[in-house]
Amino acid sequence: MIFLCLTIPGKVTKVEKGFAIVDYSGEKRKASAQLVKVKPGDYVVVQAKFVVQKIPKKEALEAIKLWQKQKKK
Amino acid sequence: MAKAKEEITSETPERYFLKYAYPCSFVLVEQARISEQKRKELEKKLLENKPIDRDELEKIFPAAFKRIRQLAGEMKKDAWGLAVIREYFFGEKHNDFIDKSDGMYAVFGPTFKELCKVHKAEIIAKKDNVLAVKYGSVERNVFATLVPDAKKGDKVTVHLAFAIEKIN
Repeated sequence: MIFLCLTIPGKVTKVEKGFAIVDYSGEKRKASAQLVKVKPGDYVVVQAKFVVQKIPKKEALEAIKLWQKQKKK
Repeated sequence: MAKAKEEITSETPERYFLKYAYPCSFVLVEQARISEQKRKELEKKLLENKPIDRDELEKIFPAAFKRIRQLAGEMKKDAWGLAVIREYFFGEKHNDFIDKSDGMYAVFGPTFKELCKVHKAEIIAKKDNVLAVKYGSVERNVFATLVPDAKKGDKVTVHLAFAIEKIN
């Protein structure tokens, strides 16, 4: 397991009433955008159902790729 | 050891460790490494000042303890001494390991690395359980769960989405 202390980034698909809908390769989860302001298209890390950090796209895609590779092992 | 204990009153090494590891416990649940029930159990012990089992902490956070034992060796002190665990998190040895891209951190990008580091920050605003904090040119929002009495102007350490302890 590579990401021992960090979670996989997801992509914000929708923002409504202070909540972001975050897409994880097809699986959608709702997270509060109370800590970080986000917009659709942003890549984010969610912790305890809160968006905690925006991640630059390139970095996020690399992390997602690594995560998927790790999952296949 | 006795001297370090005076500095952080009523703090046990187990509690001190778990405060800093608390933000990571949510991630472990997502990765199914621990159950949500186990996470809540740890949270309850932390927030209600109950005794925390150090063997269990070592089992749940093996990577951190590998590094803490290494640091303890360098400091020639017991790995479960408050001074060693404090040096690891507050003394920023944990950050040094991240900068050195130790272990899993090797694959982290720069934004992840900064998020994983412990930062010393000033509270610039407080609203309910959310603190706006600032360090260097960075402004972030974090939860006040572990420092409920922190107020604007106080200095705190932050780790992931949480303020961890007040700095005197």
